[in-house]
Amino acid sequence: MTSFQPSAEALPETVQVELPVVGMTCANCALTVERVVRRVPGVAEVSVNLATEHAQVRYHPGQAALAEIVAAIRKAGYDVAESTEEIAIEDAEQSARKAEIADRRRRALFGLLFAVPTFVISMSRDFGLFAAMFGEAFAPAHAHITPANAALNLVLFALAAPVQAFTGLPFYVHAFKALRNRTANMDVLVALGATAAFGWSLAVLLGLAHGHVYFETSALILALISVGKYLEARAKGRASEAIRKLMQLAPKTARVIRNGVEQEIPTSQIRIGDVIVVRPGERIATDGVVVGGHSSVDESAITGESMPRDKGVGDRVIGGTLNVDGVLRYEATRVGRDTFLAQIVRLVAQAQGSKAPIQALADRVSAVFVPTVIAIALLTFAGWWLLSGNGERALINAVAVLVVACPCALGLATPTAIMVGMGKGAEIGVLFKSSAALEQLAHLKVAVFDKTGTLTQGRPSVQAVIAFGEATPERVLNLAAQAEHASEHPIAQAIRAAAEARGLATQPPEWFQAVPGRGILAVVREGERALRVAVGNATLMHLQGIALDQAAQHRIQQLRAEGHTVAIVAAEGQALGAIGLMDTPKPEAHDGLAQLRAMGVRTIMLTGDHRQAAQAIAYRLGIDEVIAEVLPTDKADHVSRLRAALHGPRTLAMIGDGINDAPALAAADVGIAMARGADVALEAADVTLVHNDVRDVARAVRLAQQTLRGVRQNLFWAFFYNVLLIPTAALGVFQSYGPILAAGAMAFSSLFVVGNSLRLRRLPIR
Amino acid sequence: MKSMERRTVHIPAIGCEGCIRTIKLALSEIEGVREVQADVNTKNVTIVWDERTSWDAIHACLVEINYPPQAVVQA
Repeated sequence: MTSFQPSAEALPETVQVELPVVGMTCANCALTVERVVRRVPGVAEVSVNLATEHAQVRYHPGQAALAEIVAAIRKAGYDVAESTEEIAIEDAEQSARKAEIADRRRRALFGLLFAVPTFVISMSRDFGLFAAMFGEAFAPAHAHITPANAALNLVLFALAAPVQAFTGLPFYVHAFKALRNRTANMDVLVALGATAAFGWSLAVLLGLAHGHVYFETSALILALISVGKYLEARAKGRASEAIRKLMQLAPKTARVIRNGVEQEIPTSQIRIGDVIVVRPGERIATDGVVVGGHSSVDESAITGESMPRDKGVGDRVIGGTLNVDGVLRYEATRVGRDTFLAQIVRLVAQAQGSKAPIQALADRVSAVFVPTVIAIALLTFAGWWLLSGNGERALINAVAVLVVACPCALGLATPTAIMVGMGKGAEIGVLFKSSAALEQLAHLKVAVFDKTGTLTQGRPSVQAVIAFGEATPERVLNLAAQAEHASEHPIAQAIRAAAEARGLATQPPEWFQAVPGRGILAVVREGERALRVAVGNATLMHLQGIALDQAAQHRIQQLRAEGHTVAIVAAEGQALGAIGLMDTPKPEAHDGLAQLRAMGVRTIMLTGDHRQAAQAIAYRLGIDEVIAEVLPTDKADHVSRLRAALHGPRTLAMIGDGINDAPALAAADVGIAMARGADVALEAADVTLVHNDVRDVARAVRLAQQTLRGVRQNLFWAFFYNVLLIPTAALGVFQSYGPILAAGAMAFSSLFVVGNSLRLRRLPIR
Repeated sequence: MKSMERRTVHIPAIGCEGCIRTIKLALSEIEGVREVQADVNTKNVTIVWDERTSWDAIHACLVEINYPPQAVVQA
């Protein structure tokens, strides 16, 4: 949350990627690839390994794009294996992030190692401890410096200087960049305070000025704030792991029929027009159109739709979806980067890249605080100079203002509260991936929900059993449950569950045969008789020559209109009844949405369903607004549009669980994923709800608000004592009591900040 | 009529078809190079060019892409 923005200035100097290069056959090829890559402006280093067919490239991300490097390799007549590009980018991001964390840790530890002894030595002198132990020579001197104190100052300088150089470097770099952009952030404040304290002390050491040294202030400010930055870097969300997960969804190989022969080839080599064979339980390799066979295909990973879709000749299939029960032959219509899956990958990447970094609270406070402090320092200087005519005196007091103004505890204020907030979240099953998500969620104004699997169960359950003629609903359900005894199809599971719930004892059928994409045929026992039973869709009934009279057709039509999926049940060639199944709302969803609305959050449902079915569910849930018939690739656009309508700190959260939600999750201010959802959704989101409970959205918001309140309190305490001391410095009374007061301010504000964060820990979340 | 020159050189660095593709690609970027024929087995390359370029330029290009010509087989 505190500075170190993920903006251009935070980009690592260089990133390294490993590209799989295809087509190198001899050592000279490797040299050629090296040569063309090296010629791309911005490439720092390249080495090609012929044996592993990989090129290691280190480049400046600001100057060269990976695409240019790939283009150069392709122009030379070699190829870079498709779809691994994104993964390569990610590896680079991930290693850059790891390097950042390691670097911050090193600088923080280094700072503490030197700053703590500096502080202890300095305080021991200032509070008279050294004088009591080693004699008056070490007394906290004011008027003139004893040789013993001069030596001690030198020791303090030797301890503080490395902190200034090593731990301080990133602050100076970032402060400089901020100033160049004409803004003042926390880095500017820290750099200013540390420089004032260190510079002044150095002047005293060199005899250019008289007074106290503040080496411990400069060292401690840098060390403590570095610790804060390290904690923050660790808490920051991981990069787009989502993309890697998406790429893994497509199978590595596919069975293609070429020249009448079935052969297994890598997915990347599939060409448009290839006919691909997919067996039950296998994933579909690329987008295409079915040319043979029929089957049901589980598209839930992509569309979030729980019910498997029946596919026959002419139907479209999507790469990455799961073929459930039949053998399908399909013709590839889109391959490589044109597939639906690749589109989603690009949408996720786009959404992640386009999110503007939010300015941290500490930076926003600093932006006001820094100019104010500088103005006070200038006024102090001008005032003293005009009134006393003493230039040195005026300078001393002005510097003192800068020294006391810099709050040591500032670095701890945000991270400690955030860490407590995240820890509490983990306890109640709300996992925050980034600290920014906590701050954003506190300002939640609009909550956009995916329907299937988020607000609903995500799987069908039996909602209606109707009987035709003399049959009873019990008999219809019983026969269906027995026929479906061994099937893993979600509809079969729902029918068995319904039969069990009504206390119907089911036994395995004597014979059964699944008809992929259509239903099931079975021979089941009813008393002494064996019955030929068919359970399935209208196509199955038609194929079996089972007629449906007008009344039956009308009632089935009615069920469908209400949003049911209908399974027709027939025995001995006679239609007995129909079972209506629907994906129903989660029991706690209504309460969860009501809680959000009570907090003033607008609730919206975003779904690909037909308007009527969506509105029926929305009405039952009491949701404010419904956006229906949305294409999976358009979800992110809707989220961006809704988000653009919000002003100020107001934010929008997207709550979803499917792969098709991933771009929208990434595009929202805060993406919230159900833990049961697809890996990709979890990776694209900023928050994970472990219990899959809609009510946890409201709890997460309350936790975020509580945490943000804690951050604000901490910032108050971090600044409070320093602000109190500014007048004493400006009025010149600081010189006599300064060191002790400054030390007290540091100690008190740090204690209050940490203490307040610990207090947050014990606060209950309603 | 434009003056044309033809030269066949031996390039020992040639190891595979990829090398030949690289050489052809690089030489084809020089304005004036009309024809490049190469044989991966003999490692001989025949280049035809007109007055818009010179042997020096072609030689420099081959050296730059790490395929220095060794001996002139046929001038």
